[in-house]
Amino acid sequence: MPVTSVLHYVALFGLIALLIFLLTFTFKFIEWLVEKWKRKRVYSKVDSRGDLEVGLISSVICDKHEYPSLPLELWFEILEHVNNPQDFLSCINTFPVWNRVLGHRKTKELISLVFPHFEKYLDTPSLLQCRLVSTHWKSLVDDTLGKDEEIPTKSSTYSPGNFLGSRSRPVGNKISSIEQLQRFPLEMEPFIPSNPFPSRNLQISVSPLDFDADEDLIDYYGTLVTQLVTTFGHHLHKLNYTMKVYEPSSLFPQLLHFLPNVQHLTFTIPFLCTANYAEVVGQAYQNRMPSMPCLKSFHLNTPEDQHLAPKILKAFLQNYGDRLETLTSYGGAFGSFERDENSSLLPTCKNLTVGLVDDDTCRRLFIEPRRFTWNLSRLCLLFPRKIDSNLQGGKVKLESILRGINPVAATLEELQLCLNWRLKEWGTPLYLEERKEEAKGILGEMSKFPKLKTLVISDDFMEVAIVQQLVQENFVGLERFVIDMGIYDEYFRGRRMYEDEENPLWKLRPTLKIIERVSLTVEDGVVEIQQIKQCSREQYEVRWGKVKNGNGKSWKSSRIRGSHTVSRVINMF
Amino acid sequence: MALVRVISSDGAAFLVSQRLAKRSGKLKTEIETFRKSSDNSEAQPEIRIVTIRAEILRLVLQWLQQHQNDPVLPANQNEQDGRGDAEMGQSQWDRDFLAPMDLGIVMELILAANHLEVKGLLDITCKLVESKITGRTVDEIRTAFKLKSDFKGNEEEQTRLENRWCVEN
Repeated sequence: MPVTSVLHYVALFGLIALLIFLLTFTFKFIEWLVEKWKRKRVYSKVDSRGDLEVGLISSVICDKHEYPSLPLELWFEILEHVNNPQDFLSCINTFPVWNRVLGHRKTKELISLVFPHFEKYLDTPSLLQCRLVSTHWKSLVDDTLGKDEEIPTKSSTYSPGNFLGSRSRPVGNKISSIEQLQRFPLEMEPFIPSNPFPSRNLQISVSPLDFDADEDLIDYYGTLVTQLVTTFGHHLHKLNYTMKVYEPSSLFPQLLHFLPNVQHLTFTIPFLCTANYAEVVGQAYQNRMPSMPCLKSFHLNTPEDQHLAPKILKAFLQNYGDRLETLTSYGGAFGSFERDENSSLLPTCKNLTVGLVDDDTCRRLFIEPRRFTWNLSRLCLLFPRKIDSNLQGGKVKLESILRGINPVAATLEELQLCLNWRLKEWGTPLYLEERKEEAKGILGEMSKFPKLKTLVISDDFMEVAIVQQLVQENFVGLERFVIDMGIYDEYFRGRRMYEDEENPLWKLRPTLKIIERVSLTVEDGVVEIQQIKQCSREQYEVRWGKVKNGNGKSWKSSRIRGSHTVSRVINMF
Repeated sequence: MALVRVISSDGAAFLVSQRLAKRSGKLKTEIETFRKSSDNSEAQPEIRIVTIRAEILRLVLQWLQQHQNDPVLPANQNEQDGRGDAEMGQSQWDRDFLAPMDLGIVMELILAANHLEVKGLLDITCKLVESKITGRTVDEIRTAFKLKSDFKGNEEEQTRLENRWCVEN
């Protein structure tokens, strides 16, 4: 074979090989382009917008995500079985294909995760309307209502702490007349055994309080309320019961037998009673109350009574004191306890609110029972706004208060020292007797409060210098400082502590994150939602601290100082 | 300009200025954590958000960009009722931003805003969902949320009765 022929064959082979290589390369290149286009198409919705400006600079695809290679209809079949909301969210976040497959179910499946965020924006009728949408929505609303705190939005007396992150939505069943007491069981009977209380919260406060001392009517009331509680009581988690004037002494202990799941109990005594009746009721309550394994909190409201409250508090604490985590009462109700008696009654109490505190209460609760070790995380002491100079026992000494809070220093996380704003007592501010010079002795003996994060204090409760010393020396971990302004929105002391450029609190306590002012508004004789003004450390630093002039002083504050002083003077008057 | 790379659950990366990213509480914390743990102060942080897909992350960043000069709302703004002042932050731009969105996307945005701690966006999206409920009939709510009634027997009647007792105070 001639050499030229061989060379021809070799050249032809080489040409074919080159063509094959080129074809393969072209094919691979086209395949790569198609793949890239396909991937790009997935993000086309994301990347097609050309409105990128300063801040958001660019978006690129950095990960190669291979789609699971199954036909789409199979994914429909598989993903149809994903019903858990969290799994559903994970699926739509994993692959764009899955997101498209599941797109039509988002509003149904994500509602469980989204509802807790937007339900706060719904008013009560809208929230209740949601219960009618579907069984799932009904259960979501009922869960929400069941968790709501029992804090009213309006009240005739001011209760400190309402504004500290607690929410209020007064949704609950309320029985306030004999007619309602008759009608409720009749209307709900066909639906037994289902729960007729969406919030699992019932208030029984039948008016008029006094049936003109009509014994038959009081007996009838007893029969009706017993019928209601025996039929539906086991559904309840919260009960707010207002005692009727001279109701049978054993009525309420009997009712408690049918309330085994009640966790939160509020008991109101709205009348003054005789010492004899108080004695009889005290005996009945002491001896006839059942075991209530779920009971966690007890609130005793006694706006007027002085005789009955100590008996009832004593009976409750002796029967349930070992399991109570929250207790609210007025200070005088602790009067019936012997020395050291209450030390064994509240071993698990974390949250204590005591109203109308005086020297005697401080001594009895915190100072006298020396063997007692409190384990409180929240303590709220409410002092009478106005001290009657004729009542020797009504006085409060700063020394007693400081000695009172000292034993709980190790565990306390939130402390409220507030003047109780009762409508009748407005006008005369309380000033404690001691000034800083006089209080030096006890201030020097105070322990450190390592866990205390939140302090709420009435504006004119004690001298600013004393507060500052406590914040600097004792409240070493304080993060949130709340000044309760009461009705005085622009009362100058709070203003000074809140936003003055010379306010030393920020420097005295480096852990401090926020200072807030809370004030009340009053409409038609009713205390309304408090107004909140806040100043964070960041805002404070931006406003007063960051910008320095050549002398190291805040030029911004020095420029503003003149007008600020004027505004303060204006606001003072 | 200091940048941060934010990566969505489905792998899209967004290069964002740190100033903008720090308007999200979550991203701010992540950037600060990265700074503390990194020896190289010039290194570019990379943050993976495994619970937010690209389309939603893009929307959040767009909203942040539009509101980059707004004052930052404190996390506990208006804790009285646990919600912020949506009206205060809602502009015409916000309304135009949310108007074309499907309710499903809005719900994803709520979850994203909550996860990234973007209070203003959380407020306006929650307010939008609230507007689909308040003042509407039950049927209108079902239509808006693409739901059907699944009550059996007299369950719906019972629920209406319970509701009536709740407001009869």
